[in-house]
Amino acid sequence: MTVPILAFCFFVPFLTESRVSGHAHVWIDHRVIVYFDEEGMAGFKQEWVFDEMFSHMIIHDFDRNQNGEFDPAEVEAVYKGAFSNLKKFEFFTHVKINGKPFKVQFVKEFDAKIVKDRVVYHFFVPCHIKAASAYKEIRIGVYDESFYTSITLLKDQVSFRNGAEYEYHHQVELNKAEPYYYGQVYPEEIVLQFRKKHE
Amino acid sequence: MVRSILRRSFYNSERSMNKVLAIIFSFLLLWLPFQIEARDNPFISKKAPQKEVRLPTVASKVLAKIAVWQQKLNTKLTEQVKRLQTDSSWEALWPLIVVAFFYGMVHAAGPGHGKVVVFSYFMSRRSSIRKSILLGNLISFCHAVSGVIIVLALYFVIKAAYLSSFEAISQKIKLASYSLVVGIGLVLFFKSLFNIKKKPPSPPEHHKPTRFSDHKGLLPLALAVGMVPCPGVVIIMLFALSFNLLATGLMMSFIMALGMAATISFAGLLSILGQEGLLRGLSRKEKAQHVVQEGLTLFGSLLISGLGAALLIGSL
Repeated sequence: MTVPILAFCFFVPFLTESRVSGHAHVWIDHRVIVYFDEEGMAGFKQEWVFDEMFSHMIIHDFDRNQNGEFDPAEVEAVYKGAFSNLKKFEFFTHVKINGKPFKVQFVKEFDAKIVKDRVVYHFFVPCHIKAASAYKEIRIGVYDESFYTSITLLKDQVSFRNGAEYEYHHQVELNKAEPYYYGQVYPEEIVLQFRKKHE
Repeated sequence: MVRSILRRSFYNSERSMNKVLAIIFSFLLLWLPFQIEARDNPFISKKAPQKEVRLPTVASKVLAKIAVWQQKLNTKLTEQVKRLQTDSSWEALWPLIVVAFFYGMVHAAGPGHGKVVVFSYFMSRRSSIRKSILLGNLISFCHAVSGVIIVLALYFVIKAAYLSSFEAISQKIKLASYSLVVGIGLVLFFKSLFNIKKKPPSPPEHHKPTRFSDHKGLLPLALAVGMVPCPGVVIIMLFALSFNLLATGLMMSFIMALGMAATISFAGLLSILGQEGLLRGLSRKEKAQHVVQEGLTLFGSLLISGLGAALLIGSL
């Protein structure tokens, strides 16, 4: 009886707690570029690099002429067949501006590429925030709440463009106040603060 | 003297272990309804996202780390398949076998109705570890074979787009599967109810409570649950086929099924050992033991039906 009891005790955490690990079927490596314009923050561009196995499915379905790249018509087909549906999931992009949720309802400039057997998506999330003299805080978390897709923000892969007029800084942290997936996973969020540069 | 002390301490430790088993089993019973999960591919699923129930559980960095390990296993699997294109030696093959097994194990550790059904099934009857291993293997092999058949049909016969075709076929099979699970749960429930009513109200024999089932339902249950194609197997098979490695794809699916079987069997094992601990803990209160066992029998069957119904409604 001792051996099964030990096995039982050992595997209880395995069954109950490791649920999150097993569910992912798709993996994405993720990068973010934040863009500023003359008024403040304009939005941010995302890059999603899919794992090779899932990439293969997308390539098979949408690279119809099998030339190893997506032509403009094929990019349109990828958008319709393997991206636009994510609108229902806010494109896995969860944004808060000064603590208030900002719903991502549409994205722009979608592009799909094949790079070294992996499918790469680029798209821009418009998120206009006017700069002021006081800091504004934007939290950006990119995750699939169902954990069908596991999205990893690559290390040191948050960058900024056109930000000369602003003071800004950011850090990546776990949001321990709002765990998802049955309260078992802390989302990783980019916490960005920016304001107008003081004269 | 020493023997007497040892016997007493063994008896005490066994009693405390039984308590531990009973507590964990009770915890799993409460936890079980929240394990119901059947997610669709968000890239193509027509269904609206489900609002999740947030449970007051402790999030853990360990979970994120395990997710990373699974990604590493996936990458390793990709590399090994590619290596086999040019190198079919044993040195190239064995790492693939090992990785596929662990990938299957971890893959099945996610929330899935298979484990909940297995757990509930063995809650509804006293059974042996051998049976839990058998059911775990039957379910995971049905799950894998279903995926393999769909891939072979898509690749060699239908020659259609993978993503949309798989999702469409999978949805239809899910509806059939969940309906069957509801039906099997109801059959088990009414059969148990009938048996309970038929039996005289005498308490069961010491340490050997009544067995209500003959386990004839193992295969139908495994088919009903396992007929839903495994997306993991589908992705791996399609990937192997893209390199014209059909045999490798089949082998990986088989090894992955073995890994999944190990995890699913553990769900049955937990149920059997937990129930054993609970009933042994009540061995001095025979009437209570009898009531608890009958309650578990009915609750386990109802849980199977309820799970099937919840999944069915969610799929419509």
